Amino acid sequence: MFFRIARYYLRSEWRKLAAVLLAAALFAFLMVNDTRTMPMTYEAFAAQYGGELTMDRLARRVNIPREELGDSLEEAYPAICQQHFTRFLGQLADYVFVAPVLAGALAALLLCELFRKRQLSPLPAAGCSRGAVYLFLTGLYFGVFLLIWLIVVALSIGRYRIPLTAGQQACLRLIKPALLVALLFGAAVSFFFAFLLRRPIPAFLASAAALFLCQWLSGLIPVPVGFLKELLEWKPDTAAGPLILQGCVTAVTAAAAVAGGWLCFRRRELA
Amino acid sequence: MLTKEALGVEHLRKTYRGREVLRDVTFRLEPGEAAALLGPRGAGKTTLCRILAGMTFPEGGSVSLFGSAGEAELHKARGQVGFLVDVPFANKSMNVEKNLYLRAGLYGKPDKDDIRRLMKRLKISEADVGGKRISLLRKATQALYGLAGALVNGPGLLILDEPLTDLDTEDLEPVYALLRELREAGTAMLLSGESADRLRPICSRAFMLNEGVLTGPVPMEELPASCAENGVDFE
Repeated sequence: MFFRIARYYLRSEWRKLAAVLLAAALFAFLMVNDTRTMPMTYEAFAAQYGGELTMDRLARRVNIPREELGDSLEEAYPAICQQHFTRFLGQLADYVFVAPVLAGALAALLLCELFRKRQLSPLPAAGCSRGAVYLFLTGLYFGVFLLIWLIVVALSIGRYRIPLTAGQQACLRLIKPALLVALLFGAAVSFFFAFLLRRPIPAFLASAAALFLCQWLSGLIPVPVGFLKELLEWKPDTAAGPLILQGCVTAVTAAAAVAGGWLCFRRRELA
Repeated sequence: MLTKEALGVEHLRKTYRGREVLRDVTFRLEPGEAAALLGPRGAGKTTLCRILAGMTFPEGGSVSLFGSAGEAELHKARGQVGFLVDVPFANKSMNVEKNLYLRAGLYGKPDKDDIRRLMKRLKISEADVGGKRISLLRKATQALYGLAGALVNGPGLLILDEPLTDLDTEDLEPVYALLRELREAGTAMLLSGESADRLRPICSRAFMLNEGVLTGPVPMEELPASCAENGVDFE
């Protein structure tokens, strides 16, 4: 039955699905591109900044005070790595805030399109159970968010090769689940609004507003996403606790959204 | 040997916005039987067809297809039923053949040759449809497409809501021929309409639905008197 449902959507909505996958991939690539701001290894660094470049010019080029760079490229490299990591982590943290809002709001649009009455009506008439249809579309929906996360992890975080301290490595390890948790939270909230409102534009606006409000509140109370503050101060030990709490909040939100969506969908009129 | 009834409806009730549109509707269809469902506009015919197609749910009563017991068997049995309810489902970016192929794929592995044969039987001509989108075709061709969509899975039961209303006179005979053939092969049919005129060549008996109340069945030849008694226009 899942195969029949998948075939139906792939044949009838392949343009929309392709556009969504392309948008997700593009979104993830933009995130990746923005965080790759300098060569990773010393060899590549030396190849780019070596030659006749003086230390004064290097300091101006990388925007670090001259006195922090030392007297040679070998001495300058760790300082530049330190600065790059701080910027990299900061940019990733920004994306942890921004990505769920953007991705979540757009995903609400997608979900409303996939659950249109006219699109769905042949399926139960052909014997496809509503449960199977719901599971398929829900899996597809959350799968898109997983795809964004996988691309970012593989092409950005996974390729980070400059030398890091143990604390920095621990922070980098934590940013992976942090990004996933944030994305899934965005997915869960927009899932809820898509089923509640059923119209694409209102669901898009409501999701964006709700997620923005959540992010704003997280700055005021330590519960959601507050662990990023700990990460940015390079305290991976104290960041782990809030991350776990945020993970639990996200899991409960996602479970509630999916269960609520099913309650709305199972008896919905498709005519 | 007892054969299972093709369609069993028991005490069906449905309310829309506080108005009871179906009241205690009960009837059966046997394999190979073709029945008309007649009634004026707003009588509840389309609502009944939607419930039978699983697009909407009744507040009370039950539906069984081919003797199904329970939801799981009912879902499975829907694979043997052909529906035409409301405006036929069509993907706007696809032509007739691709849409039929899409519909057929819901029931299993579709066969392009079977679809082309069906289109030929219903006289959906290549010249008329070509690569055009369905929304650009004449109304009668869209109606033929709707019928074809109900027939792609070789159904044992047909639920057709006003299938012949928009057809031109010259389109009717191939449709009648195909429906008669299916009926003789054992397919049960429920065809709805406001008028019995076009349904008479296919159906042997009729139910009448008026303000949610179903009466009948009545043999088609006794129809004019029954319709008058039940407030339904015969033609």
